[in-house]
Amino acid sequence: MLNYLRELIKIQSVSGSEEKLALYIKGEMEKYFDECEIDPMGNLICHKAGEGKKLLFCAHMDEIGFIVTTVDDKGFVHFAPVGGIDFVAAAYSKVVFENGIRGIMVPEEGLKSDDFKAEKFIVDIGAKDKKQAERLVKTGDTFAVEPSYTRLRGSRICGRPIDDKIACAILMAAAREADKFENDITFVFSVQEEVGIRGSKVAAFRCRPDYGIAIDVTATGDGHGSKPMAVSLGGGAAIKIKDSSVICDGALVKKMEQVADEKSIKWQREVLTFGGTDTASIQMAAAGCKVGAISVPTRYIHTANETIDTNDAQACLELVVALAETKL
Amino acid sequence: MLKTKELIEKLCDIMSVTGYEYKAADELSALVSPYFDSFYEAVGGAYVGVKKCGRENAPRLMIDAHFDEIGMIVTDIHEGGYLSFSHMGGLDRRIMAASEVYIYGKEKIYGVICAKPPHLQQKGEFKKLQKLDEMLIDTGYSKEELEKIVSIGDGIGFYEKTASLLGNRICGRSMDNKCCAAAAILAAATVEREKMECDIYVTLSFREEESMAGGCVMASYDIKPDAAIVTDVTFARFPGVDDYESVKMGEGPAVSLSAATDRRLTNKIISLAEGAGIKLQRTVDATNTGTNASALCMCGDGIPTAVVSVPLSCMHTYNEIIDTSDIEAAAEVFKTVACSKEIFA
Repeated sequence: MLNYLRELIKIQSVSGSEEKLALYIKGEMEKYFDECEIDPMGNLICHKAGEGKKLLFCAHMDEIGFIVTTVDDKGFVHFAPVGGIDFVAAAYSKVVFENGIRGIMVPEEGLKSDDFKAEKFIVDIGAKDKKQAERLVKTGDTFAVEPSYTRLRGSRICGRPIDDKIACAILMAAAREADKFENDITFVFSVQEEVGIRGSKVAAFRCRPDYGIAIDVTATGDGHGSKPMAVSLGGGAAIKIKDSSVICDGALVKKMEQVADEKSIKWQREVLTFGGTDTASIQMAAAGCKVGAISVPTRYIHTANETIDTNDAQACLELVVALAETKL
Repeated sequence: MLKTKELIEKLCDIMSVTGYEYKAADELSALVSPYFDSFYEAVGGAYVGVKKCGRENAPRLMIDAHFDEIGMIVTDIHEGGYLSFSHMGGLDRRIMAASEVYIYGKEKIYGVICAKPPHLQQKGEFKKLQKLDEMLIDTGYSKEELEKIVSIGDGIGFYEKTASLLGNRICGRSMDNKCCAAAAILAAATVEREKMECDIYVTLSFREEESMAGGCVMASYDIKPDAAIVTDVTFARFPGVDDYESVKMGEGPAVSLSAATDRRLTNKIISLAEGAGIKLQRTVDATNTGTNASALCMCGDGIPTAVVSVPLSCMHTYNEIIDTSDIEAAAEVFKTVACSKEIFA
């Protein structure tokens, strides 16, 4: 799983530009699943036929980033944010464009952090003038803060984008156990979650599952100055009860908890008072389905150093496999 | 085929304030149905013009241009023949005072939005923007006479008259989005059937100005397009508007680069237009195009959607300005797309 994560992190996939990542994951998934196809919006939909209920697991491929709006006379690149960008976290970080060009994200000189917003920032790619910059970077190109992967103490790691490539890695690792699956399983690697949970909606419409389960990151309550929240790093797989976009199906939540207990998988309950995931869009696609979500507790979400405990991710992986092989 | 300018003018003359698009049925059908194989009103809220290539099971290209226009709705009728109103779509309150309007009751009547003379204004009053619910329309009728013609809930539109500026430029009410509707109609009307690689479905959809998820959404479930192009207006550059949020008028339509639009389809359109020598600009709408595309791309099991927009200045006023050469170029883009094999490959 962590090997997958390291690979996925390297492939940039800002919302709307996920194709390269989809092709990479498709190549791996084809080894374990019968049918893997990319739908009109760009979602990768992988199916493994089975006798039981139709279960859809969904992890989003896209990461937050930026899109070039224009290049000015000094050769500085102006941009708009794609997804929820924290400019305090982004200021002065290195960014990478799809074509490998690097730059530094710079706020206006003297600007107070309270006034940080996209219009006040430029990316300095080292170009000496507009002409040179325009040869390297075009309007509409996407870019993101430089990817990274660092081991911290014990089982903890940090880097970006952990959101939501850890979940993609979890599903890819789960696919290796496909022989054990009893249910009819679809893994969706969705697009455009960060810009309004878009891709999963059409994927769920296409698949019409009985149950839909999103895998994503969630906040924790044990960080420096965190809002009160029961989820902790190292506390196990978080089984979502609700967030601000969804109320999960009560019976499915209970079932997930039961399955986790039976398999001795460490788990905790998650009530997130903000944020949303693909769970919401899956629930309301077509005539609707029963939904739940498994979350990886994560500190410093949407920064260059999203931090997780790999034991939690391992627990999430085990829970995905357990649900796929349990009669529901 | 009508001249482009004439087609736009005739479309602008058809009242289609958001919520009242149904009233346009007869006039619109008479004007444009000759250009299509079939022309019908879809239940969910769109007029649909179909032109088929003649081959069975051909891919379907949907070209969506919302047909509704901003306007107002009567909320109350007062003594002295005054009307209160609310907005249908986003109005610019700065342009309201003394504007000429038409009220579409049992018959169409004329009115003027009241404006307090500067002499009578309190000190500093001119600095404040009047709220919509404080404004009144003066019709000149008595309340009794007015009630015979106008009911609460009737539609109101700005004075309907297009005018020519120099060169290819024209101005008037509801250029947003009748000029794009004209581009789509023009493309379907003039594309050579033998060269078409797909069936064209032009949707002139309802309710974009209020919900941005208008009739095109419902129509798409019926049409099930393999690809869609949403055509709408975008901001033309003029002094005081930043380069990054505008495009040049007369320099051709613009494609939108956005997370909400399909990059593969967009890139194909760019290379097709370049190959055909059609001028094409670019706009960046990071996560949301502000058009029907944002909803359309997520319909059913997903529709690859691109946005081709036309520069327009003075947006959401009664004197929206466009350049007819941009409309003709947009129509050329649509034709090139409809005649290409690569789009559906």
